[in-house]
Amino acid sequence: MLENKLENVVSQMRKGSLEFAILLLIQSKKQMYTSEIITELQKIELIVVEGTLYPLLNRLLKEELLSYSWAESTSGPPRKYYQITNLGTQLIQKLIPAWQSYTNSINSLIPKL
Amino acid sequence: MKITKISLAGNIIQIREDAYPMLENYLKQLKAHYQKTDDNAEDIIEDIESRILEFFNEQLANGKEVMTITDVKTIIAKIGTVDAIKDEEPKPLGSKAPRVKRIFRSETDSILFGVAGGLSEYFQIDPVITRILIVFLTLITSGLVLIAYVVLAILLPKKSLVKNSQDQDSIEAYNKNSRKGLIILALICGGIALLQILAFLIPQLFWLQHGNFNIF
Repeated sequence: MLENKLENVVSQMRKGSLEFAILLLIQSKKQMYTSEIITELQKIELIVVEGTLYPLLNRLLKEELLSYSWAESTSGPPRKYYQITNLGTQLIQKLIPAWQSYTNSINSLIPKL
Repeated sequence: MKITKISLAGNIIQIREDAYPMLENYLKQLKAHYQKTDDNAEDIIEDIESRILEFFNEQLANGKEVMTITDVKTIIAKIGTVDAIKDEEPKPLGSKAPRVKRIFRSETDSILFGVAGGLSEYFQIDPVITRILIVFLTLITSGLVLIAYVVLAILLPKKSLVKNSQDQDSIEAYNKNSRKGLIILALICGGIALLQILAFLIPQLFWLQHGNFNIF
């Protein structure tokens, strides 16, 4: 029961911040291809299976927060490289204070030890 | 073991014949899933195909030439089964888990068994209209709708019965069965009733003189 609840709440928190995390990640690296994004997100335990990421990337493309370009790779097929758009940068700038005030609110409720 | 050539994201790859159905089936399931959750399922599948191709090219670099069942399994584990993806996928804001709207017999608006009242609540129409319709349709379908009424009175549960009962499983089983029965019954009655209504309205359609088309 407790384990289930914990899992559920944590997964909801993750879901809520995943898009923000993707935007931040791509911005910090200037451009990334899909497998890189997956590796990074898995490293920080934000996603488990890759299948979750593709719809998100496509949604962000459609909303013009991301753009992509093809680049040849030395091994195998050309890679789709994602970059952040102007709109995406603007959104990040607005999301950062929103995120900080949100985490501050929650932190303020956590009793100090 | 035979080898098939398939096209993946515009490239030809070799795959063992026993591994192909697994891959094909997996892609089909993914597609069906994304078509439900996203407008651009095609693009998503294309990305996934590219990813599979990329993975397979890494294998090629290691001296492998043909994709095997093990490779397909590895890919499925990486990208995730539809269930795993569903578990992790962010729900669109404000969406709730879909709930099946149930038909009950009404307890507040009931003359005989509350069927008319219950149907009216379900379809959100005036119960008076429902009752007039039931009587009218009973007349022109030579009693068939009345039979449907009785069957509904037996099959439809009362709301309080469902809400108060502790035994969820038996309720679910009951609902499942009653719904199955309901669908079959509705199809049969609906079909016959429709024929009879049509016959009543346009007797010529059935080459009958006075609209006395009668199944019984």
